[in-house]
Amino acid sequence: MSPPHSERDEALELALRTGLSYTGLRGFEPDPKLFRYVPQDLARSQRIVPLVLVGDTLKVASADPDPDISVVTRRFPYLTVDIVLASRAEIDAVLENLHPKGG
Amino acid sequence: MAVATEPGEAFYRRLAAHAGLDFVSLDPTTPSEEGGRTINPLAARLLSREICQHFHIIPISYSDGVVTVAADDPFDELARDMAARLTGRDVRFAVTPREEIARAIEDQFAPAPHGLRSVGVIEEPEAAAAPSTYGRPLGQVLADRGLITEEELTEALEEQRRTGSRVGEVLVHSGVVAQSELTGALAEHFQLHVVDLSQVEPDPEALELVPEPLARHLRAVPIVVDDGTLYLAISDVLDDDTVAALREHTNLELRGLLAPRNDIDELMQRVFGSQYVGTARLELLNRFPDDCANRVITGSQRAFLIVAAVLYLIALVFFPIPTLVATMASSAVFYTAASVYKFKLTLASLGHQYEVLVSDEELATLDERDLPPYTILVPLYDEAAVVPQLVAGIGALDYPKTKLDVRLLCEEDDDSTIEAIRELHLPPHFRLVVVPDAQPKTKPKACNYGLLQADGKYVVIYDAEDRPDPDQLKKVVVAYEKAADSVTCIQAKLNYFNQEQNLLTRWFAIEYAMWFDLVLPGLDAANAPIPLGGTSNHFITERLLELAAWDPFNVTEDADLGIRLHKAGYTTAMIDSTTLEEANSDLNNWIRQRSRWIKGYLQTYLVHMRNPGRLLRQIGFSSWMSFQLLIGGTVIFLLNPIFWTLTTIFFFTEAGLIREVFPSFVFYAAAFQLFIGNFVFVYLSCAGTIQRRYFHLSKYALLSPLYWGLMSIAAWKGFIQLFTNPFYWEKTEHGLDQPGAH
Repeated sequence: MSPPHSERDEALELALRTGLSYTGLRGFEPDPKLFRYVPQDLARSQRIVPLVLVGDTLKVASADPDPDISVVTRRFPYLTVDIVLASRAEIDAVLENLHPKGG
Repeated sequence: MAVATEPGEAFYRRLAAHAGLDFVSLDPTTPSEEGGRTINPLAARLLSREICQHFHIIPISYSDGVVTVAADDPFDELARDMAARLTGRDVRFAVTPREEIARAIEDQFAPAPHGLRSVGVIEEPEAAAAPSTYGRPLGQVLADRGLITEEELTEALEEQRRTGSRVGEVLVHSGVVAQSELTGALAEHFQLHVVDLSQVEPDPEALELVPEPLARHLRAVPIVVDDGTLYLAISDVLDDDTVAALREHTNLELRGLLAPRNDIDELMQRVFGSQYVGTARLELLNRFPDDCANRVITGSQRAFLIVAAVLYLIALVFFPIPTLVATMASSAVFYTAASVYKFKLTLASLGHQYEVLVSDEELATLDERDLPPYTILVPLYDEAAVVPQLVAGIGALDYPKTKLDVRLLCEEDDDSTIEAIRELHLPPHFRLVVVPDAQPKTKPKACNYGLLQADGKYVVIYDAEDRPDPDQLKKVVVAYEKAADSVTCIQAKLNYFNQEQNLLTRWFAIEYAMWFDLVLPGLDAANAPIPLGGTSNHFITERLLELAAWDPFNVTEDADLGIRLHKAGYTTAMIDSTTLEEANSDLNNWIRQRSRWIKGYLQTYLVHMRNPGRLLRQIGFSSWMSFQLLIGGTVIFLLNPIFWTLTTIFFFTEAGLIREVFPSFVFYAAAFQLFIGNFVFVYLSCAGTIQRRYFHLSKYALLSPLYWGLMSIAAWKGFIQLFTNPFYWEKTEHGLDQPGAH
């Protein structure tokens, strides 16, 4: 099921307003290993999805421009977390398909 | 959107780097500089296979009480909590790729080969045990096995919190669980094999792979080599340094077989007994031959004494009167000097703080988790009757039982004492050590033997009948923290519980009060060597071993060790804690004991005076003089009867010869010694009782001169024995105190 047009628009609009990047998540399958960085319960509670790790930067999709990821930054002091915005519905769809414990 | 993921290992390296944790590769082809690590196979067994598989973790090393666990998810809190609870130790995670962890689990938990069973009785861990122990701490396993009640478990957990000891140890040392039962539960818990050491003869080839000192240090006995793997009997997981040391010596893979700790000690004594005896007898002789009393006098000492005796005899024949005058004069001078020195020491002690003060508050705030293991050596010979009292005395010590290592040292031929100890079925911190029969059969040899397996950071000797203050060990621990670095021995005060039994025991108590409250503090104030007392001296084990411990050939090995400590630059201190001993109440028994002490002092004097110049350089002039007057001063007891006889003869006969050998200046010196000297000693005896607040004994101090008469009898007995039977240990009989005399 595709997300309602308005939710994507909202996310895009928020991205433009905050200066953050935007990403669509349709058909996206996260790398289960990345949940070592973002525990699944945190991902669900904050509605975030780790997208990719490039060097020391972890790109995380979030519906909120300022999610509480203090757990991640505390545990991984040598990691930079880069937030990109995605629509709430697409994030939920990704999180629904997760297995209980990645690996 | 498809996301390209990095190859496994690179990802985990990055994960570790981001978290600030170590990356560890368990792939044997990875070089160590890139994180390649070999697993400590005995640490791996700290967790069961099922736990490892479930959480994708495996313990890989054990060092300084911390278990490093390889995990693919460094923040899996559940896994971390489980690992900490099940190992009972602190846990640190390292990051390792999941595939490598899975492979390592398969390798580490491979079954033992069948060839192993040929060496003895080896029990498989219970096959059905895996699911039943899954995820449960050891204490719960024991409770589920019906070995302990929930109440006992709760108490043990409380003790664990208080002392930092492991639950299994707490339960075993409090006598709730037998050691073998704990070993069985541990084996089930860690899926290890148990070996019954009473029926195992280690393969000599395996024994040769690990040098005895290393095996002793590690408390691991090689049992058999099978297919490139060395099987070791262990009672606990060996840490990484240990495993590294063993691997270095053997170039073999290692596997542990569980056995109760005391069984391992006994096996070591069985297998290495003759080597241990060799070390106990000859360590000092081999390392410091000049300090060992294995020879009464050296060739040069003998030559010197013969020449001196011949010259003296010649002088006596040709110049009889002047020679006798010179003899009397020099004796009087030495006598006076020794007396003045003792008086001076006593004065010095009055304003000197020798004791390391330990307040009740300091004891109360002591965290029992920080207390180190403590070894108590109890040499026993023919003392079966005293054993229950000894056990009660040690049981009364306020120190965590899990941190006590009590070694009951029995001679091999002393069947009755050995039997008495076995029959008591003592908790495992009491360890029966049977010293193989070998000359010299002395207390110091037995102590050296017991020291070889000592666990304690500190070690103390108690006699069987000793009653130390219950807080003595804790006081010593605090005192060592406060004392100077050089302090290597802390002496507790000694006195007697049966001092009121008869006149002899009262005198003995007076003498000890003077010695411990006046003379020893005075020696400390003068920075002079301190001859140690026989028991209740608490040593730093490491330094004691460094000094080759006690001289097995010296019958006052304690006094001798005090001198050797001083020579090595170490010092002693004292604490205000008393051990009550049994004073010798029987005259013959007393003379035997005292003759041994005096013989030992003479031995000690002769040993350290083998090279007077070197001793002078080693300890300095004032200490050298102190040694002459205090240890050499023992001869005073030999001289006393001569002077007394001369005085008596002169009193009755006014013999002209005596008048001639005591010209006025010698006479005055001797008379000074007789009247003033004796007064001083009686006075000091009184002062000692007052210092100790033994006011009820003060009046008996006035009779001290009679006590010195007895000393002289003992001195001559000891002196003669020094040449006829130098290493013979005049055993003091204990248990002669009468009930009600305490």
